[in-house]
Amino acid sequence: MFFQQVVNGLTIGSMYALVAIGYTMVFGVLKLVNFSHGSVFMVGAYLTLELSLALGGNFFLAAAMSLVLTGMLGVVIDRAALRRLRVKKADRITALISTLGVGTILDNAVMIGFGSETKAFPNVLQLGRFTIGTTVISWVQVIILALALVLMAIMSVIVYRTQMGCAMRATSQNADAARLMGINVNQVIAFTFFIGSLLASIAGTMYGMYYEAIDPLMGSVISMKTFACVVLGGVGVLPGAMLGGLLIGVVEAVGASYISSGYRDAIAFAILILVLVLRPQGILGKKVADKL
Amino acid sequence: MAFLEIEDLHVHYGAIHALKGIHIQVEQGEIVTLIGSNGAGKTTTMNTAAGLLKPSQGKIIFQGEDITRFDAPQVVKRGICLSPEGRQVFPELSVLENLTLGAYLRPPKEREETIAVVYDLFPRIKERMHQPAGTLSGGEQQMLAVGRALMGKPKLLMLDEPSLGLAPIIIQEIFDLIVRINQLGTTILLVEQNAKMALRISHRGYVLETGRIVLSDRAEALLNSEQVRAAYLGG
Ligand SMILES: Nc1ncnc2c1ncn2[C@@H]1O[C@H](COP(=O)(O)OP(=O)(O)OP(=O)(O)O)[C@@H](O)[C@H]1O
Ligand SMILES: [Mg+2]
Repeated sequence: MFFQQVVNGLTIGSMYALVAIGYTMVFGVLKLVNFSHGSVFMVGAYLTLELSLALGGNFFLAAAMSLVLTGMLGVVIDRAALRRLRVKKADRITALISTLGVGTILDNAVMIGFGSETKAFPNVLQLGRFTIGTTVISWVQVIILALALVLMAIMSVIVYRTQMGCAMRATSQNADAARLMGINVNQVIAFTFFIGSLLASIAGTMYGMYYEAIDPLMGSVISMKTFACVVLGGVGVLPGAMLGGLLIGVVEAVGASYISSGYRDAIAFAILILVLVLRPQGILGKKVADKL
Repeated sequence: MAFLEIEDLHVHYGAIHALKGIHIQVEQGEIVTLIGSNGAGKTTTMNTAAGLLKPSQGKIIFQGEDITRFDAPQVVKRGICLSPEGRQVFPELSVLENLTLGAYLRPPKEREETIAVVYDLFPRIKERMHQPAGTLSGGEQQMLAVGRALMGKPKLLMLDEPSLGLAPIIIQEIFDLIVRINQLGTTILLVEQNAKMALRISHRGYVLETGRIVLSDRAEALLNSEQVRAAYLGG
């Protein structure tokens, strides 16, 4: 029973983690909470579904196209709704409201385009399940978790081992000094949005496959949850987002089964508040919370 | 035409008129110093030349090319590197990563060689290669900031208060290094509170007062001028 919930929690947590990475990376380079990120996740899921229907059920091609298109959507969001505000040196609160607006527009656009009702999502990976003791594990869960771990490893390599990653961390620590090095900060930001949105699309597709249903409001719930994951792990710290995602997924699943499933969302936030009271910078966060 | 020409430069911060039409010329191979009291506009001049700030009027010409409207990375590409006021190293990145970023726009194959030159100038930095820059002492961070600017192989190196907050013995060391860097063929534009020491190693100097150039001359002449002695050299 306990182990079962841990497995379920890790599955959900790995989706949280993938979404949280995008959140935390954008926060790292822009010092901005990007409230449109949950909607980008939802758009990713819809693109996979609708493209797959349009392509006559070629699910994997659809998922691949979705991740590229969603990545580009992230770049467009920055270009259209945020870059001008940076040029004009607008208050950060202005940019924040702008991302809220973009989120709402995306949610409504999907409702207009595809309807507001819940849609069935194909789980093309009907690979069955296996049991260890009393724990039932489906292969979809294994694949989701494995894929998420691989993606997190790739992200760590990009951020900590490549020239672009170094430019991202530099931009996050001191944007003006980064410009003095010759780093094109707008390019770094665009890259960050692209990668973050691409991961959100993958998480959206995973979510659809796991629950076999999606709806236009799935983004708002995830948005709240993953924001909690980011803060829990330590804002702007990449491993923090991963840890926070997995942790909240597990705690939520275990808590829901032992206390009451009605408290699922409350449990995540109760844990968050508890940790923050004891450790305001989050589990892996540094004292000043603007690091990547 | 001079190597670097700043003509009638005006810079505003909102309603604040920080630079009110300054003219500065730097010839190739020179060390030129900008002195002036706090708030005179020295940092504003350097940051504008580096492309961090946009002037409201005037021109900046480097090697015959108008770079007035260039963004910082384009300025770096042309061969102007700034070691900014207050060091501004990346605290969470290692010393080596900081230096590597200094060569961001340079071909990767020349990096080893440039790093060797920088380590030769600043052996202390080499020992701390893998340490986060934020854990270095103030003097070491200053050396890193200068070294990082050198990694871009600048034709013109701009140094904004490289001696700020350092012990006298380290200051001497930094000034000796500036002379060495200049002798290796780099033109230098220097901003210093430490006017006496700066003028001693410079060819020429400019005196900036509340956004205007009030004096410019050969460094020796400025060192001996009554006006400069009274205001900036402590009598
Ligand atoms: N970001 C800013 N916003 C508004 N005013 C500014 C800003 N930066 C500088 N100023 C103003 O512009 C003027 C010139 O400042 P600047 O930093 O260039 O002086 P400085 O000569 O470098 O002084 P210091 O020796 O103290 O470094 C000052 O009056 C300062 O208050
Ligand atoms: Mg200054």
